[in-house]
Amino acid sequence: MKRLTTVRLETPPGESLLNITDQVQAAVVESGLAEGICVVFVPHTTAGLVINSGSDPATAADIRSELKRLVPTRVDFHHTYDTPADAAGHVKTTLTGSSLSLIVSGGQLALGRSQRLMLAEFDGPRERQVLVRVMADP
Amino acid sequence: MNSPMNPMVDQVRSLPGFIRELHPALDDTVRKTLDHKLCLSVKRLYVTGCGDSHHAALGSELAFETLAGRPTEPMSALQFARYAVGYLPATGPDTNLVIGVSVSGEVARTTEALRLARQAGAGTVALTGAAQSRLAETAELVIAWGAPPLPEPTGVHTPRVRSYLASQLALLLIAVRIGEVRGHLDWAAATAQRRDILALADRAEQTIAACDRAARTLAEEWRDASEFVFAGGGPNYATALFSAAKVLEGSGDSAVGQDMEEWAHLQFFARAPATPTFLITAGGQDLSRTIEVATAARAIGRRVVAVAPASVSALREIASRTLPLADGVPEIFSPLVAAIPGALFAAYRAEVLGEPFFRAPGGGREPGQSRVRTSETWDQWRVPVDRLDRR
Repeated sequence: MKRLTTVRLETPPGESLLNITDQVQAAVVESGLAEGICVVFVPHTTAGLVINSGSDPATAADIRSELKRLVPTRVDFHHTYDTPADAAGHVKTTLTGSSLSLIVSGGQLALGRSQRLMLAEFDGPRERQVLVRVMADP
Repeated sequence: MNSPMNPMVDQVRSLPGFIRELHPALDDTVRKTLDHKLCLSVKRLYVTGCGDSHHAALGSELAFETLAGRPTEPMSALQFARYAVGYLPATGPDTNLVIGVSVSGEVARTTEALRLARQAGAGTVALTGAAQSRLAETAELVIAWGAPPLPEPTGVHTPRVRSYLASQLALLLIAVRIGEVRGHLDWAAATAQRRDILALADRAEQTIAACDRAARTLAEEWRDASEFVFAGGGPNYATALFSAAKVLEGSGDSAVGQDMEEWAHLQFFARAPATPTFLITAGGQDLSRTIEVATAARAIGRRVVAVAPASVSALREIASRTLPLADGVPEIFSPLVAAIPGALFAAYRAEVLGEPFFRAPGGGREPGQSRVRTSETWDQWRVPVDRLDRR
């Protein structure tokens, strides 16, 4: 069983929510796991993970704009080594989190009908990695 | 490889390693010094200094306007302090950012420029090799690169090449920093620009390899010449001024730095036909004009040296000689590399003539005579007496 897969992707400029469900599902299928847990982890500090509806693109836009409202790009962040957008991205990443545990059943991610797994990019464009690790039920 | 007889050549040969050493430390300093509020407040920049520092400012104008996305005016310190600072646009705190460049940090006119800029409400940054200096004390913010000069034989004062490069490098990294914080460059673009700037070390290495022997040969062949002209356009107008400065400092020959277009309006009429004329181009916006000037210069008997990338064959075919620059250097960054051939030529010219750098003391040229550091300075801006205001 292939236990660890790295998904690589290039993100567009600025903020975005990128649907990575298919890539993660493909990693699960490739692993041969039938029943167990899939841990998805993003090893970055200005990009996180969310699960939400992929049916209507406006939902992703709402999530982006609400996160922006909660953490506006401003000039008085303590972290000024990079840009204000970068500093805001660090805070937004703590809100979304960097990892998710998903149930695998019948060789498939047990997601709801409209649920999609999304990489939340807060300071693109960047080259990002998503680590997918599978663990079989004992 | 050291050249014990010529510490100026040693400086040039050390440049690739110097870029690699300085780049990460300077980038770190620039990021920590220029905070978000300042970068986002800036509407326009003024970069001021004297001598090589003024040339570095001139050479950075295109980079600031391209990378930082802000209009930028390079000015000599006298022009800024005595004729411009009283007329800065009153657009609010930190909207005017003035960068004063001085390697020693002790130059009177540049210190005066920053003092008056602060009084005018501008943000002020001292870019210097000396963190403890008058300039640093005068400015609100200090970006100090502080690398020691190469060792020199006792009693020898060598024309500076490394410090010019340090000033240029810092100005480029400042431009990237401001552009990135302002969102003019995204993270990927800013990262690529910083990588390209670091890669200038490789381009400098290639340029030195291509020019070192050729510059020495040229200095020997054209030993008879007594005056030199260097012309360049855009950022390499600064290179022309810097190259001429190194000849003046190195061998003491009369040397002029000229804008490429202005050469056609002025030096074209100079009497002496065979004056060595170095035409400097990165093969950018000024290339077509440089080729026209080369053709005209050859037609009137000038000895023309093409200081240009090897790939610019049209210019090489016209020129008498070539001091090739490495290919692949963006025009905005080219002054860092284009300064190398002129500096090498100046160093070898002094060596071939047996002329001490900066002339031996005497004949009224005693240290301090020019009063670069002790010049009378203004404590506040003085409004010029304008004939139109007279009642």
